[in-house]
Amino acid sequence: MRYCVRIRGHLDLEWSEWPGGLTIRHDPDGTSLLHGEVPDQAALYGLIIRLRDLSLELIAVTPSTPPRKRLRGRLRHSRTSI
Amino acid sequence: MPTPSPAPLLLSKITPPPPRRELLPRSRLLALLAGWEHPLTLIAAAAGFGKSTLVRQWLFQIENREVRIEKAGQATDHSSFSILNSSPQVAWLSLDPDDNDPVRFWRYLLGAIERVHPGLDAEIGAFFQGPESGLEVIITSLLNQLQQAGRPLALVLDDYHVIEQAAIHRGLSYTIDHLPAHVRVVLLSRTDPPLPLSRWRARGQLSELRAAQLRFTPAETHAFLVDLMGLDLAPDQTGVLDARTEGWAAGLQLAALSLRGQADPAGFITQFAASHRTALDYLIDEVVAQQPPTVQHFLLQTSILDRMCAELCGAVVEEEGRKMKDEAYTAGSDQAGTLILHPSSFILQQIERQNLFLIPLDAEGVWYRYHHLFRAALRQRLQRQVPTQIPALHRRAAAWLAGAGLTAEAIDHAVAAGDHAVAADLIEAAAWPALLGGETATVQRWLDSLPAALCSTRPGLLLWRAWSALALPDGPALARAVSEAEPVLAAHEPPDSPRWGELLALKGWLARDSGMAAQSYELSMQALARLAPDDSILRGMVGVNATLAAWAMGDYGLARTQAEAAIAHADRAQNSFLTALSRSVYAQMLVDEGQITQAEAHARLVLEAAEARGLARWPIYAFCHVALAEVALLRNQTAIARQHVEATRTLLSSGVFKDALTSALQVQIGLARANGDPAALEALLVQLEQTQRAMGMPAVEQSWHVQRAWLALLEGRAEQAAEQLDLARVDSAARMARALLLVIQGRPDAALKLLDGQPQPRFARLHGVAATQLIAPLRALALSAGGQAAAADQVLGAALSRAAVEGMLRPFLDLGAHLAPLLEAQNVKRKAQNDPLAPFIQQLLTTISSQRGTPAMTDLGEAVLRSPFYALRLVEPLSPRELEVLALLVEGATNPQIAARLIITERTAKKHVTNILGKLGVANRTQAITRAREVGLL
Repeated sequence: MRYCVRIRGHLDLEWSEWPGGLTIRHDPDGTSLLHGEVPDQAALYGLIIRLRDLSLELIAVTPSTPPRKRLRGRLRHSRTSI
Repeated sequence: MPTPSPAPLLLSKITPPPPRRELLPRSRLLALLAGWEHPLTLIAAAAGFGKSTLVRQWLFQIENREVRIEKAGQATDHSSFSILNSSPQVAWLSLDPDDNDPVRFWRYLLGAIERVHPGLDAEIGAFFQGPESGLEVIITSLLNQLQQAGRPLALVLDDYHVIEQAAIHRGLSYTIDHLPAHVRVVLLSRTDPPLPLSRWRARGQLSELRAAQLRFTPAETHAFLVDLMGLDLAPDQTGVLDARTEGWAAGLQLAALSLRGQADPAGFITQFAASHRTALDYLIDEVVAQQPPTVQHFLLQTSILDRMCAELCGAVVEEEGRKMKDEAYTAGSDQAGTLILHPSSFILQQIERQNLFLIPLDAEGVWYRYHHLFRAALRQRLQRQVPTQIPALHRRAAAWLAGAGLTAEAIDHAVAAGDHAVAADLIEAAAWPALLGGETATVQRWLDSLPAALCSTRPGLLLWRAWSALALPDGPALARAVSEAEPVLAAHEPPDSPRWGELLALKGWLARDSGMAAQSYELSMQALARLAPDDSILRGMVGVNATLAAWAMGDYGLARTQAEAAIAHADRAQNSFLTALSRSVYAQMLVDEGQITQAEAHARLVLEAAEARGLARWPIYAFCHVALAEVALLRNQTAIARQHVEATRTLLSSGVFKDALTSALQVQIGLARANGDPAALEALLVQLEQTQRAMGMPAVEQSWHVQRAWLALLEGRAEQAAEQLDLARVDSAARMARALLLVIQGRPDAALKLLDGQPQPRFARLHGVAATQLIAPLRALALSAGGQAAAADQVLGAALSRAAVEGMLRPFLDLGAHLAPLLEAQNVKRKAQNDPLAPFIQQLLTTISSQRGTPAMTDLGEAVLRSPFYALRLVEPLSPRELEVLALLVEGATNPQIAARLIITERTAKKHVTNILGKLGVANRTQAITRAREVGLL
């Protein structure tokens, strides 16, 4: 599952302890967007707890892929076949 | 393995951090804190909002007020006594993720309270106590003790957000619901804990301090930066900082630290305000960058530590320190020279002086920790800069901690270093104290933190897996662990090593659980031959198993020797659990032996000792109450028996020790029968059946068929008794019941053969009465029924003499309806001889006759009076010849046919038939057949 996690402030770009493959984007409104693949809900909660422990302000957590990925894949496939 | 005690508590976890005055007093918050009297105060906010600092200021205030009041009290009188009393004492517990073990959590919580309430009974977590079972008891006992102590107490739990165990939340929630009025709990947490907060809020039992209140107001920010930190800033500048950090305490402190080293404070403030970087990142970089390289290096490297002292820091940063030392020598630097003398303590002092988020954990200034937030930020930087060095840092920390005996912390670092073999060594050394302390969950967590492949090659780890399964207790897991461990031991351990001793001990336990007593005993002996002579706890455990096994084999002498050895080991180990276990097993053996006065004394002694130590509510003591209930039942002291049954049930309310519960149920069945309450009897029998089925216990232990059969026999329902006995497993209790059935069926010789030829029925109870104590009365019955009146008289007389000494009535009362004629005969004879036993027999007879009038019998009314049981009591049993005639009657044979078949005269045949009709109390042959069926003769 891919998730977008928005937090207040520009977080350092080089933090490497984030769970695998999360990218950080600094947005002009003074927020950061963490984006990437999160293996499961447990990992997502773990990430949120890490943000909590750094006293970061959480603004939004949104999935960036719909949960039913397989369905979408099938739709895309049928579209290309047309 | 010498007898270890449970792992000692880390004092720094339960020592309140030294009170701090130098920080800006948060007067408005302190006033709130001091004014609240709710059972729970929740201080919930993100890291760095000054939660702990606020509570430390509160402590400072409390201590100073006490000093002031004490001085005032000396000067005047005791008028301020009540105020002094209202100042709470503070018990402090700093939690960490390792505390997610209910037993460990409560051990520490009790330890924290005991610091301020000396004399509190803080013993917890016995080996082999069900994981949560003991805690309910401990919590209730704690609440009672706090209630009695009556001193105001504030219980501060710092970092409660690390707790994830539902069992801990449940326990704390219960505690808060039942808190004495003078005790309050203060929880510090980054998240709202999963406790019934809204219920407490609605009932006015909760006061809260949250981020909104904890934030510094602009005025507070100004006071902090200018008055306290001595910065030369204008109100608009402090206003900017307040807005940028949003009154976040950690941010303000970092800002103050950064500003101290700034040549251009105004420029710094402007840049900081304009930056989008998070305040933490921005400021920590500033603060760290201002430190000299050695300090920066120190900060980063020590950030792997949960807590630190100078020596530990020295060990962790050692390598670099040595390099610096060498460099310093080549450079000839004096400053470096100072550093070399006591580098780490020097740097620690320096860091503390600068308020670099270093929090002292004790008053002596030995142990410190970094502020969580500061540490997290440092760790990020360490990870970013030198990720490859991190395992080495953990490795050095583990080595030092292990050397200092702080094994639990060493294990975590060894695992973090990836040194699984080192961690395994440490776990092998630390597991036993942890298990003794009841921290089964901790041991399992350690074992789970190692790769499975490593575990399966190390005999020691496999054994700990097994012991923790036994401690839980989890039978299937134990069997699995033992079978996994055996081949590994075979490959790695000499056959006479103590580890083999442990494995054999565990196998012995399993063997007895499956009813293989002789094998279990043999395994225990093999274990004892291998275990270290000074390993008192394990030797005691094995001794208990050997006692039970020898007893099940019927060898009293052997069992007694083993029991005495086990008790001696338990005393030497000073382990309350083992003492209670070994002594209550011994008491039950004494009940079997009919030495109930001694059994009673023994069980009472254990309970009194437990009472004196405040441990009497431990489930393990249920076994003592069972023994006392059985003793009272044997003496027909029903009220006392009932008390001990109640005590047993209360102690076992959490569902542990089902075997003790079934014993108590049996006593209850005996009591219900003594009371003549058929409805209660039926309910109890159903309950016994359900309990034993739910236990999934081996059939050999399931006694409910036998108990039903016994009831049927005593009520004269021979046919039903036979049915139940056919279903029951043939154990010693079943044999007793079968013997009585045979007597009733007129086969006394078979009954005698059964009674004489079988091993003693150890631990078997029939309606709570030790089956051993039924042997002699049953033999007397069988002998009498077989026409051996003199022998019956002698057997019964001897049994009565023994019973009279102990005041034991119940076995004779249970068989009362059958025994009454024999007892009457004894009574007449002994009265005439002025025998001292006569009053005892008279008492038995009086009780028996009054028993007949009890509701049970009258409820049954006519049915009872007409019952074969009743009838048989009045008439002689049928002789073997008469039984043969009866069988022919059933076939419909006439007198001449009978005579022909049995080769007797017709006159003799007729006489037999008349005798049969007379003995059965019927008028004709048809009635005789019906009655014979009722009696169970057919």
